[in-house]
Parts: sequence; C-alpha cells; structure tokens
Amino acid sequence: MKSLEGLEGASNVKSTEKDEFELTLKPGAKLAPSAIKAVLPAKYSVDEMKVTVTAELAGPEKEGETGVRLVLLSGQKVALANRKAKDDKDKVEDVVGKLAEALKSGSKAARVEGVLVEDKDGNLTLQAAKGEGLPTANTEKK
Amino acid sequence: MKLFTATAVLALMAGLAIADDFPPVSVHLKIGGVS
Repeated sequence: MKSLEGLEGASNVKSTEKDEFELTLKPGAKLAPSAIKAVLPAKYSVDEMKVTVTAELAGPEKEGETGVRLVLLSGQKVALANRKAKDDKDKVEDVVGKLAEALKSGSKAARVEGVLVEDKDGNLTLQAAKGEGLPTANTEKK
Repeated sequence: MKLFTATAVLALMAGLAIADDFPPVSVHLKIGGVS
C-alpha cells in the first residue's frame, strides 16, 4: 500500500497478505493506530496493529495507582495490559506481572510484543503477548 | 554566543545518543476495507 510509505519514520513497508502489511518505524516516530489511519485513504481502517517495541519501563504515573507502562522515545505513554484470551482454554501469560517484577528488580526498559489499541481520547494500551525487562533500552550495542 | 553554541551542540549530541539507544519498532498491520 503506497500510502503507508508516506508515514513519518516508516521504512521496509511490505505486504504479507492482501490486507496485512509489515513495516519498520524509527524509534522516535509517533506510534498509534490513528497515526496510521491518518495516512490511509478514507475507505480503509486499521483493524489491528501489532508492534514489537523497546522503550523505557515506568511505574504508575500517580501515587496510589498500580500497573506498569512504557514511555516511548517520542514521549508517548503506553499502558500495559495482558493480551486477551482467545477462548476459555487459552492460557494468557502474566506479562504485566513479569514486567512489574522486572521494574522492581531494577530494569529500566522493556521489549514488549503485542496489540496496540487506542481509545477515543487517544490513550494507548499495549495488550502484551510477550515481554522482557532489560537493564537499558540499548539492545543493539551489547 | 560561544557558550550557547556549545550547549546547543551538546544537547543535539545527547539527543542523537538517546535515539541511537532505542531499536526500531516492528509493526504488523491488518487493514480493513481492502477488497
């Protein structure tokens, strides 16, 4: 899809199925389904956005709140949730619990894979399928 | 003026170093409305 190549920070855009696409985004680029939708012709919608992202790992924004979140290089804050179960037999890994423990143990960053969803107010939640705490966001120079 | 320029250069270098720390983001999209 040609219009995806116009997305700021996007590269390696390729089609994997008729309606499925893969691309790479620069770490500082805006990451949100609405940012993708903005470059698509009006007749198209973003049905699902799966991402694998490495970002700063942070605790709750306000005192008294629980949970962990990611702070992207762009400054966007992304709440973390465990992925939804497909059915009753589907066992969901507690990625959020694992990352909360990693944060307590001194991890400053995390690499997380999951579906990114955005509510009508633009708040982002990453429904994590996989995740690991990292000492820093720098995974390239080990 | 020199101090301002030096500060600006250092800030730019710090920004580039931070950007370099983060690997790119992999994105997989399912687009609706594709016939």
